[in-house]
Amino acid sequence: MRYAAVALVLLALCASSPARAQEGPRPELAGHTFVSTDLVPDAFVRTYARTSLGAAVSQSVDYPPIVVGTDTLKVLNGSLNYATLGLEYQGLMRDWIAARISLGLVTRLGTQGASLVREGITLVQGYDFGFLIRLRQTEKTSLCGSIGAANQWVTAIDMEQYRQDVANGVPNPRVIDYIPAVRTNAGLRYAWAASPSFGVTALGQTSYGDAPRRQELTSWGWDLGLSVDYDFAPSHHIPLGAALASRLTSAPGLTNTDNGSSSQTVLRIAYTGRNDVIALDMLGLFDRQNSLAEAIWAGGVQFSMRTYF
Amino acid sequence: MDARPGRLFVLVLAAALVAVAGPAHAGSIGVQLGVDRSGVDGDSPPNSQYIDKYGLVAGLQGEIGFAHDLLLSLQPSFVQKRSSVQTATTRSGDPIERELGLDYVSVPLLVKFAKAGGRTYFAGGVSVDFLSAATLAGQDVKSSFNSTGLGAVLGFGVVFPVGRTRFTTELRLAQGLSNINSGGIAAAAGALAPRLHSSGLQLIVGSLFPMGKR
Repeated sequence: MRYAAVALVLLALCASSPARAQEGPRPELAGHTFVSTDLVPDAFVRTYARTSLGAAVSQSVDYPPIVVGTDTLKVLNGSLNYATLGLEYQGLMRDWIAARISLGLVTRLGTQGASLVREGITLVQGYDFGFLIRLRQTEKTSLCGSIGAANQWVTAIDMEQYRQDVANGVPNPRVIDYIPAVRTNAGLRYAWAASPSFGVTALGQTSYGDAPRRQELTSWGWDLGLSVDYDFAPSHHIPLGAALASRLTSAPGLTNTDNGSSSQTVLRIAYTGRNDVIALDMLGLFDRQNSLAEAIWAGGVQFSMRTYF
Repeated sequence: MDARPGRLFVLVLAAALVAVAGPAHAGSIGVQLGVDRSGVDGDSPPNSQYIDKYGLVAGLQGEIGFAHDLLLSLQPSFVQKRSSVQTATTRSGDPIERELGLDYVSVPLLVKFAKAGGRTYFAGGVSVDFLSAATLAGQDVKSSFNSTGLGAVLGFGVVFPVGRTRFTTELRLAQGLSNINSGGIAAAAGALAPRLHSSGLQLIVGSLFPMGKR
């Protein structure tokens, strides 16, 4: 992670004098200024820095009984807490290509006895870097391609998995497991300025590399995202924007078991200055945390700041 | 250690560089030398951790311009990735440390974006790595590692022109993308194969001599 932090600083230094063949600092098409979210990134080659800090809490989770040998243990309901921290820099190399690097940390913590035993504690930290390339731009649309690599470390304290490993006689069972995962990704981002007030951003991405869970060695993954944003400036002349974004991912990194895709939704309310976006996000997470438990909702808030140069 | 294939590979690449940087192109060719602090990152044996050490980077570099302020650079190099595997002992005492050495013939293919009138640059690309030797505490463990690997590179460099020669200093993030562990022994034992990647920084100084017409 410290190596990535050095690289982030160097990238910021290198791109500090942007080759300004761009129209304006913020993403804009046909009079519409896009309100980007962290969930569905924008489809524009720009220089910006972003930080975010957020937290979420799940609803009550009903767990089935734990079976140990011939005994059945009834367990109480539980809940989960999430926290997230992000830092990103994207620097313009030319007006058609930008390099980006980001650092991130996400934790998931079982906050009641049952959740702590069944879900444990998971910490995902890492960095990813890559390039964003403008493929085609018209008066109202922009299409960009992205390519990158991500290096993540998943630290999992999983009592349930430890119990199963001991019961199954797995050699060297671990209470604390450390799962490194390096993945490469490539995708397309599309932006459409429907009107001076409304904009749409779409994301499609595929990835390949180390699976986030031990049971698999490598895996393919995909992400689909859609964002609809509204800029109040053209109609109300106030520097406010809103965006509703959703993202579906096939390889959620925070779950202990492979239970299919998970979705995240965010509603963003943002102050939109000429160069800055200061946003409060309402987060929603729909995830199947355990193959034996029902799918759950989690909700929370995130504070995010983005400055365009 | 049989380094003949590696040497032959470097010679072929050097010849290719000279051929590419012919009179019709604004190309440069030179040498580079530096230190690598990549080591390995990933699964470690029980009660153990990896500690990155310094290794050598030495090789050739050649580049040609293919667009305005854009250069394509090929840098076949010998790269040492050094780590120590530190294992805690059950009794109170110093941990046991064993040196892990991985020698590669690495061929990064980079695109350089010249900045500040060519005085600085940003480089990004991929590298193909060919394992030439692997030792753990002096013992040959080459069969435990994959013979080839793939990596990604991001770098920032400063250029010092002296006459027609350009001296470069570059700091780069080198991230291994493929698992360097072959997994054969683990798979034979019925266990999950460990995940190992190289990851770290390289500091490289080099010189570039112009070839062909500008």
